[in-house]
Parts: sequence; structure tokens; C-alpha cells
Amino acid sequence: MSAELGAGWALLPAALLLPAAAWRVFRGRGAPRAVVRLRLASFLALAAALADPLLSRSERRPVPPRAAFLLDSGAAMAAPCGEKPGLSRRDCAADWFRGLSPRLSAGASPALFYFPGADAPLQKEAPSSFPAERDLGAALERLSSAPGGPWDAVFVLTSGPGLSFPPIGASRPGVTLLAVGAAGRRGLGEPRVSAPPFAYLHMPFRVFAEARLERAEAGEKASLEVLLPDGTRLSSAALRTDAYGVFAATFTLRRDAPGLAGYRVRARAGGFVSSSEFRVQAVREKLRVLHLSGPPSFDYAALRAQLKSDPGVDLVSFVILRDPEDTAGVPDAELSLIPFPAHDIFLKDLRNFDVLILHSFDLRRFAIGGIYLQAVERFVAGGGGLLVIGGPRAFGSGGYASLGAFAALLPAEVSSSPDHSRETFSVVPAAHPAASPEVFGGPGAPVPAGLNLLGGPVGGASLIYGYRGASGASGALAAARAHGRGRVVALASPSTWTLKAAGGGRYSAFWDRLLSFLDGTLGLERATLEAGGSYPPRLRLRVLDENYLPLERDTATVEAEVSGAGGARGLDFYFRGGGVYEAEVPPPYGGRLTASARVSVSGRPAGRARLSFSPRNPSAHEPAGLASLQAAAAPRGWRVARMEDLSAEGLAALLPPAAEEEARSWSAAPGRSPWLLALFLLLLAAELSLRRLAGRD
Amino acid sequence: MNRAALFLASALCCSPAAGEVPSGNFALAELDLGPGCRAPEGAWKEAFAFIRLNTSVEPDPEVPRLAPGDPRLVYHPFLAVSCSKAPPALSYSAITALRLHLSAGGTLLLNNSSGARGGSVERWARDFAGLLLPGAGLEPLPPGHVLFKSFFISRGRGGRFDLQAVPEAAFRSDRAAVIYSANDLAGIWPVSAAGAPVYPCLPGGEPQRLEGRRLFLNIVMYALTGSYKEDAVHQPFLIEKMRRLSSGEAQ
Repeated sequence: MSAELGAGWALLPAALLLPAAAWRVFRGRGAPRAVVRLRLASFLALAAALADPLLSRSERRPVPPRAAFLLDSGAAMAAPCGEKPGLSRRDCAADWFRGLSPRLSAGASPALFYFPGADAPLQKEAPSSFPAERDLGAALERLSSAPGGPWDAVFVLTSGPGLSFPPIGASRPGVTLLAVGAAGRRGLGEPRVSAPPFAYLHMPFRVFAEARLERAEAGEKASLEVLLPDGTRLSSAALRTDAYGVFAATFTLRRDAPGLAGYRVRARAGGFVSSSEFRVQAVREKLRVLHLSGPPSFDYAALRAQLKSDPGVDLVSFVILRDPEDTAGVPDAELSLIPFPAHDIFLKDLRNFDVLILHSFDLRRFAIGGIYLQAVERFVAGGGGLLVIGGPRAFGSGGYASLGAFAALLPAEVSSSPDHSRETFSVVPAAHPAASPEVFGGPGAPVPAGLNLLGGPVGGASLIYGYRGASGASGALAAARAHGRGRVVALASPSTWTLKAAGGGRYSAFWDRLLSFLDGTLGLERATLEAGGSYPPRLRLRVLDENYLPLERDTATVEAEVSGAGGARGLDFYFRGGGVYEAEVPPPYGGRLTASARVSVSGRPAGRARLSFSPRNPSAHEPAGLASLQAAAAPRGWRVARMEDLSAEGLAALLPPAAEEEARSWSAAPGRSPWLLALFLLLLAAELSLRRLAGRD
Repeated sequence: MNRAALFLASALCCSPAAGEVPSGNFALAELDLGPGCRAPEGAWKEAFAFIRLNTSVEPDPEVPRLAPGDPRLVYHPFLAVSCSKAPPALSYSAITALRLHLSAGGTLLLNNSSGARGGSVERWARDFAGLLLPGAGLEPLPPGHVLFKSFFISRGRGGRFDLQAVPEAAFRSDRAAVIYSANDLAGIWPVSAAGAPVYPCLPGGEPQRLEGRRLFLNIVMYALTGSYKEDAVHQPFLIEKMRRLSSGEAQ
């Protein structure tokens, strides 16, 4: 038991002097003794109120440790929580804390705090006690001044990946890392793939892939393969898991056709198989054209000059200046001729080109055995573009109809007899993407002359231009068809050079469009959607301008939505530079989702993009987990435990023992009691009444 | 629309009749600049026979004489004019039409058959070339020019006369669009009924004639193939480059 003076201790002398002075004054006036005693008592009561004494009793007792739980809200913690569908690791950790908290409270004082962690979601509203502290060091520092402290123990609930730790020398002691989601069953996650956003045609590009076998032993057999969507294997690597169950490989791939192409990476390990997809947009660095011409002609000269002047074209050109039956009658040394390297061209080098142009080319000279023509067929089937231009030695006049596999490639009906005509003809453009109707219309339009009288398009082919000859004949001037992964265009007339004579850019317009169609560039979408590998899933929208170059500025308007589980919801795309827009997909993420975007550039429609994708589970491909936490904790003197393995008792064992402290068990402050004031007033009233009764004022 | 475009539109508006369009892959037209400018009888026939004999080119036997405004000009990118006397000046529209012809890839061979160096024909040829390609006067073709190897390895010193070491040319976009020969490349061709040359080649005789024939053929091949023979030099490099690129996948 102890007594203390309260805040009014300074008034204590006055309080003691007051009754003393009162005694002295009243005693001398001859007041009745009872009145004097009443007055004295009232002043004593007043003095007690002024002194504000505190009466208390203290004893020593144990104090429970204060434990702060710091929950990482970063992107990795948004991953699904093990076997609890629909819950994130963060949700699981919060539930775990709430479940253990009542039992934990019996022996400790727990408090939960959130910090945003690394790569926090863009849209998802994650709770955050320290919204600005994204790394663990800053969050720990901020925790030291948080209400409820100081903390005897700090537990960090995290899955590890992306977390940045404080410097080793400046790390706070007493921290325990509780690994969330590290207690999963043995299983193989989806491979994580890092691929370039685009690749140049024919140029090697590298793709990095890695996957993790959870609960793996180091050195287990594993493999990674890159496949085409149809299952064709492009490359594979036999691997072994490392100490963290991770296995990785870098693949070198090559694209031979332009446009967006899908690939699949398949991982095998521990009897499990998983796969993930990625896409690469293949663009041309240069169009590689092999131009094989029969006799030299104005048409050859014009087309060659056109292709030579195009900086986007690498041209290799051969023209047959002399046939075997021509006799110059001079020694070879006086001729500038070189033999036409047919063997190398057809059998070795053809595959290195994008487009092959046969220009009034007499194939009969190279048809013996058929191996060269088969090579041409393989070239087209493999994605090459073949342009066959007419002339006196082509189509019917070149005996093409009898050239078997080659004849079957042609998109228009070819006569089995000579079909080259000198007549003039009019051009009738068809509704075809390769057609340039403006070229043959308007003032100054040329009147071309000389063509092979082809029939109509064959089955499966499409008309680009029709002709109507002066003789009344009509048919396909230009037609196209697909063969394998490539395209074939037949152009009946070797007189497009007249477009050049007509001026106005007609010639280059005609050929630019036809070649773009032939090499597949015309089919390039200006807007393409890709699914990123992050979680929550992000979508990347690539937008090209009218020249098929990435947008330099944010001039696109994007209307986009995603549908699937959870219904349709809007997507907000933000310009990231280099023609790339990004949006984060709002939850929920279950099942397969379909995103669609409608894009306008500077107010003009630039196309639509659509993508179906399955959001990936980052728990499967995040390679760090428990092992990385252990690696980070050891030099800092911290401990690591699996959250899922930890019971309340286990957690309590990690806490420091309760400390003993002197604690006040009872206290009272009578000076602050209203009863004391009431007593004072009562005594004054009694004194007044007694004095009146005694007849004294 | 400027006058040139109007002219071109009018020139191209009407479809030529069948038969007026050249056949084969090479057609030569003589530019009709007046009576002083005409190739010797039979010259082109012999020239075409030489071309046909030695090369895969099939010249159209018809050699029309076309005025600068003739709509058929569009079908004849190769024009020749062989003058023994300086022709009268052309109209502005005629010059414009020829400018367009050259700018669209046409070639004009100016042949001086006067046998005089520095005479009126040569002065006219220089002025004419300057009119057709403003700012690009006639200059001797450099020794390594592709024209000298477009088919034959030619030294360029050939023709009926030996007044000029090499032909001269006026260039448009690195292409010799107007080629001028002072050595008379047309007079070397005519032969008599007995097959003997009509005109002697002085002072070199038949070797000079043969060199002239080769030079003429090279000019035709140059018009039909451009700088192809320069490509031929680079093609092994290009092909090798592509092979290397392709082998990159195995790295």
C-alpha cells in the first residue's frame, strides 16, 4: 500500500494552512465548540480535495510478449493459396492470423500490420498499414513506431519472391520469416517464359524458360521443350533440378514467316507435365527477294530497279542473258557471263529467301528430274512467297501446264498451248487486299499490252485483278492462293512497267502492295494482344501505326473488356511507350478468359484484337519460396518457419518468455471524489445551521 | 494538272491497236526528229539479228519512227536517234514528253553519223541531252562502268568512226539515260545483198566494226538489265550473308 500526492500537491501547504488559520480565527471569537469543530472539519475536507492524494497498491506480475505480424501484400502474395481455391496467399495468411490470435492472446499481445511489398497489384485494393513501405527494411523501421510497440518479436508473413530485405548489418534482430504457401504438395508449376516481344524474320532469337518442381530433391531429371501449337517440337533440353527444384534452359529459335506466332513450352519433371504459352511477333528486317528472270526485258529492268531502290529489300537477281543455243562466237573471256547456279539456287539457297519471283522464266530447262520444282513447292509450303510473272516463255507459252507439282501451285487456269498475246487489255481490280484499284484508274491510266491469256482462278484461289482483252478474252490477270504456309501469286502480264511510264507513283504502289501481300506483311494486324506472365495477369496491347511501326506517342484509343469467370468487365489500358499499352485484368481469374480490344489511332480505326488466355498461377513458377527465405534469413540471424506448419503452440514457442514487471493492482484518488465535495458542503451547512440555532450570525 | 501530265494523259488515253504494241522483250523505236535523223536502211535488222544470235533477247523486228508526242512512246522505253545533220529544235511539249520518258526508265541513244567531231550534230547532241536531263551534261563513261560488261567485255572503242574513246552519257539517278556515240553505231550494221558491209569502219576495219557491234549490244543489254552485272559481283556476298544468317539458328 502506498500513498502519493496528485497533481494538486502544490496546494498542499495552502490546504494545511487553511484549517490552521480557521482554528485560530474561530477559536478566539467564542464560538461554540461544536461550530468550531464543524468549521474545522469542513476546511479539512477542502484541504484533502486540494491535495488530491493517490492511494495505491502494487505487485510484481508477468507481462505477455508483444508480437507484431507484418503481412506482405505484394504480387506474389496474391497467388492462389495452396488448396484453398479463391483465396490468395495474403488471404490465407490473414485467416491464419485471425484463427490463431485468440489462443495466442492468452500468452502474447499480437497485432497485424500490412505492407505493400514488391510489385504490388495495380488495381486490387490490398490493405496496407504502411502504404509507402514497399521493402521489408522500411516496413520494419516503420513498425518500431507503430502503436502497440515496442515489439518483443516480429513475424513477417511472406512467400518470398520479390521481397527486398534490409542490409545485413542493419537488420533488426528477433525477426521470424513465416513462409506462406511453401508447404504445398509436390507438383510441377507452369513454366515461366521470357521471350522478346518481337523478332526479326530469319534471325535467331532467344527464349528463356524455367519451371519449378515443388518439394523436389536436387538433381531430379527434368526437361523443357518448345513446341508449335500443332505439337511440332522445335527444341528441347534435358535438365536437372537445382536445390530449389528449379530447372531452366535458353532456347534459340527462328521465325521464317511474318506475323504473330504462338509457341508452347512444355516442362516435365517428377512425373508431372505442365506447359505455358507465349507468342512472338515476327517482323522483317529486310524482305529477301530472289528474282529469276528469263530473257532481259523492260519489265525485268523496271522491277529490278524498283526492288533495288527499296531499302527494305535485299535483292538477289539472276537474268538469263544467253540460252544454251545462243552462240556468241567469242571466247568466254570476252563475255561477262556467269553460269546460272541452278543447283545452289534451288536446292541450297532458296530457303533463305522470303519471296521467289519467276519472271517470264522458262522452267522447262530446269524441270528435268523435277527436283528443282519440288524445291520450289517446298519453299512455298514452308512459308515462302512465289510470284510467277508471265511473258513469252511463261504459263501456257512456257509449258507450265505440264510441270506437275509446279502447275498445281498456280492459282489460275493455264492453257496447255502457247497463250502469250500482244494485245492490249483493260484491268478489272477485284475486291482483294493485294489489289490497288487506283493504279489502273483515273487520268493517265496506262493501257497495258502483252499478257498470257490465263483463265479464271482455280479452286481455292482468289482473283486480284481480272483482264478484258481487246479480242474479248477475259480471265485472271493476277490471282493468289495459299499453299502450305506460303502464298502463290500469278501475274499474267510482263507489262507492269507501263505503270512506271504513266507516273504518279502507280508502279511503286502496285508492287509495294503485291509484295506485301506475297510476303504476308499485308496480313499483319496493327493491334495485337498478349498475356503477360505476371500475377495478377496483365495484358499487353501492341499498336502499330499506318506504316506498321510501333506508336511513338499515346495516340490510340482503346476500348477493351475481358470476359469469362465473373462476367464481362472493362479493361483500362495505359500507354507504356514503344507502341505498348498495358492493363491489369481485374479479378476473378478462374478458368479461361477472353479479352477483346478495339483500337483507333488518331481517330481512325486501327483494328481489333482478341485473345483467350488462362491466367497463370504464380505459385507454380515463382522459384524462390522457402529456400530463398532461408538464404536471406541466415546472415541476418533471423528464423524461418512455414506458416502452414505452425500451430498456436508452435508460434508461442517462437516468442520470447513473458517478462516480470511491477504492476499497480489497486489505486484510489479520494481527492477527486464528489463525495468529498459533498461532505465539505454538508459540514458547512451543518455549521451554519448550528450557528443560527445558537443565535449567532 | 501541269502541262506535262496533261500531255501524258492525252498520250495514254487511247488504246493502241493490236499490232502497234511491240512483241518480244525488246523493242526499239527511232525518234523522228526530221529528215536529217534516220538510221541507214537495214541497220536495225542486222543489229537485231546480232542480238538474237548472241543473246536470249528477242527484239521486235518492227522499228517504228515515233514523234516525241506519239502515244506509242510508252511501249518503247528504248529510243534511238541517228543524225547526220543537226535536227531543228523541239517544242517544249516534245521535250517534256521525252523527259517523262527518261524519268520513267527510258533510254535514248544519240548516234552521230556525221563523222565529224565537234560539229553541229555533236553540239546539238550536247544541247539536247542538257535539255532532256537538266543539270546532267554528257560525260565520257568511266572505264569500269557496268555498260562495258553488260554482256561482252567491251573496251567501248568501236563504231564506223574512231572519234571517241568511249561513249558519253548523261545520267539520271545513277543510270545512263542518254547515251551519245560519236563513232556512228548505226552505220556499222547495213550489209549489201551479198552480205558485205555497206560502210567501211575507219581506221580500224572489221575489228573496229566488231567492237562497235559489241558495244551496241552492251548498250541494249544495259537498257534491259540496268546495273545487273554489278549485282553479279555482289551476289556471292549476299548469298553468303544469307547463308550465315540461316546458320545462326544452330548457334
